[in-house]
Amino acid sequence: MEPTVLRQPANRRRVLQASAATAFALAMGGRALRAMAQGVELSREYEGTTLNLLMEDLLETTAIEDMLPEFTEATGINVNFEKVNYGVMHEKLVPQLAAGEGNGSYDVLEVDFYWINEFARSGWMTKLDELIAGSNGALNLDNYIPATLKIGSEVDGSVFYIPMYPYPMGLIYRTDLVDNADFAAAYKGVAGKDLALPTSVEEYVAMATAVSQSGQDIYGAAMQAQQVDPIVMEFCNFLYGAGGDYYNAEMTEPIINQELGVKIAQLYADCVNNAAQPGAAGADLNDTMATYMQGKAFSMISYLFMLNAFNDSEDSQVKGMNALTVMPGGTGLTGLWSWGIPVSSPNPGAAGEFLKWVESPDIVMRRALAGGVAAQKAPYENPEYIEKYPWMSQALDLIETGKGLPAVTKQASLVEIMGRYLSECVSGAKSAQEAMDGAAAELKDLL
Amino acid sequence: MSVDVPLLTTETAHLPNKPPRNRGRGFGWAMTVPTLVAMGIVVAFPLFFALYVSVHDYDLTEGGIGDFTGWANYAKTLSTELLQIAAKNTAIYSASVVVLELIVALGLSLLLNQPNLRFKNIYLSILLIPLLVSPIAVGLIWRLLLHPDLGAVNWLLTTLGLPPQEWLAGLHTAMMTVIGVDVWHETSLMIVVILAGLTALPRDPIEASMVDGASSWQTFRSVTLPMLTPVLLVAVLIRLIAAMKTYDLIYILTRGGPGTATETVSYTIWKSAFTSLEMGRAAAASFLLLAVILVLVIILVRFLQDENA
Repeated sequence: MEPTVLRQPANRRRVLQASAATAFALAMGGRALRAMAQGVELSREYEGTTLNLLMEDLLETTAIEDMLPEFTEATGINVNFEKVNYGVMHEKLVPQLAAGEGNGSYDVLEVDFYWINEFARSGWMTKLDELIAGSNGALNLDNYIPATLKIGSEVDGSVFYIPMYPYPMGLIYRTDLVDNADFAAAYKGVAGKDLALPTSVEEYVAMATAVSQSGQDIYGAAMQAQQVDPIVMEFCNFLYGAGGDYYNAEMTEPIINQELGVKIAQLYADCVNNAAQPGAAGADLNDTMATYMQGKAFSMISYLFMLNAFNDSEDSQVKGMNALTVMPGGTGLTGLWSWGIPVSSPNPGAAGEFLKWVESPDIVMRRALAGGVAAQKAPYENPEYIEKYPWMSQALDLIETGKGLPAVTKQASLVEIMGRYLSECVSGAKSAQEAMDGAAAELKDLL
Repeated sequence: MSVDVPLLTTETAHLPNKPPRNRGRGFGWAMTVPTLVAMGIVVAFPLFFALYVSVHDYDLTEGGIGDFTGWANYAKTLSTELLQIAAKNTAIYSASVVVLELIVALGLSLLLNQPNLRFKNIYLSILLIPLLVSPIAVGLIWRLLLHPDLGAVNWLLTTLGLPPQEWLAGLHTAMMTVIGVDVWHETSLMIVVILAGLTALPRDPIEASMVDGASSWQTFRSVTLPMLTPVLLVAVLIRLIAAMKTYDLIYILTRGGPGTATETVSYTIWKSAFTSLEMGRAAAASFLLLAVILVLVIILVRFLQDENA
């Protein structure tokens, strides 16, 4: 189905709103129906409209919510945030998106990076090229970190999404233990070499295993190998870090069952079974977070936002003792939330105004300073931001080097398939080769 | 036995001379039609729509309902290895939880039905608490309790000198653990049904058997159990249908894992519909599950009718 270009449906409500706006303009003595907010020219054409947004309950969401009165003041558009847990978002969104043009409930969506192809290629999302071109520079893709555009903005050569909030993954580790002479000596006794940050996936697995075996009552890695999402998100870092991928570069054949893919699947299973906490094969992010925060693990391949929780949370027993670096091997997974306007949006024009405001440089900077992770480059060049959140300079490295998921339409199915087979590999139900052969057979059907 | 025959009163005597049977039929239809319409809207329409979808190519990512495919979705579903594994798991899971819950609930109901039992209402209230908790909350509570490293269950085991277990993460322990959690959660429902049945049983045959010198076991086996069998069959029927549709507990506890160790048919159907967005195949799998449940229900109802006869 051909994606719809952003346009304003001429329905009765729209005509009434336009009439009311015109009357207001005349009453104001011909004053222009535009307002400047945060250095961006916004239209008051949609005054009285209420936008409904489906949002994940994130820190970034709360930061934006606090600023919404400014948007309402500038445009007369009210905004409702429906904040939901990630687990229910996809199944809540799909029936809405399939409702047809103008028939949905949501005007703007937060879209996770592994729904972008599915939503765009199904004809559910509005192309944003025209909105960007007509925004007088308010929406400027040159402002964004290039990797974020690749991961969560363009589909088949058209822009469907504006990057909002990257959540890159990397290696989090305990700095206090790295500096601890007794810990280092015990490690050396098992590993036969000094404790140092690994530079490859193989080195990481060997290091984590040696830490677990060093008799210091600490696990080498806190891992989340529960299917479906947790295990695949974690495994992606191992695969990308080793230079592997799920498909060949031409996207014509799965290569996950070739030598490198099988080797990494085996390394991952070894890491879960020999270096991680007990029960890691059934652990999700919350379980893993609890293990690490209690000081029971030396390292964790995880999200950037976890570092914040470990270093600043009052519940953390390892407060201020953690650092983050890029995934050994140089490439990890970068997740990304993006903004999009569904075809089913009843108010696409007002939705466009919202995107112009929320992605304006000033709002982006304020969101970042409130604790958000920016997809735009400017905050990382702001000394105030780096001073307030020192690890964000490292975050930029993670985002710039990170990769998303392969560009198949059904990326959620890819995650389900890989999750199931990886879990079988980890649990010993299948060998790494058998598991990856099974995965490759099903991944081929997604092309 | 005396039969009360309604008398013709002065109020009914002057009614028009219309056959009472027809008048009653019209009134019956007037009362029934709204219900039939409502049932048609909320039950029959979705059911027939799902049946229609199941014989068509319907992938949400490819637009609306596509071509008629006949039995292709059914054939493809039945030949899928994952569904075959899920069907086996569902059978093991359903049979296990129903049998275990029946045994536990029957035992507890017999204890609670003791005439001289003190604090009976307190015991009953405590036993009914799990029934009041939603399956999602039950799953989350047990995930915490069963956490291999930080959970209370493994702490207790290690305190007693026993090795800790990877309850939900182990290939051979995950299904048993999920069954255990279900038994904890759903036995209450069985207790309610069975205890109601026990309370309603006539006391005379039981007391007569005791007067005749029968032991407690003999009384239970030869008098109580035969009289209670229809109630037990109803309880089994209710739980069997629910167990075969289990999705929520699996979703929270294991997501079907590790691997496919706890994958159930309902969870597979959910994934087909909401992950793969293949509505045609999800509908076909749903009808296959419905067919199996219907067959089991028919068998149990026939058995129930035989018992009543």
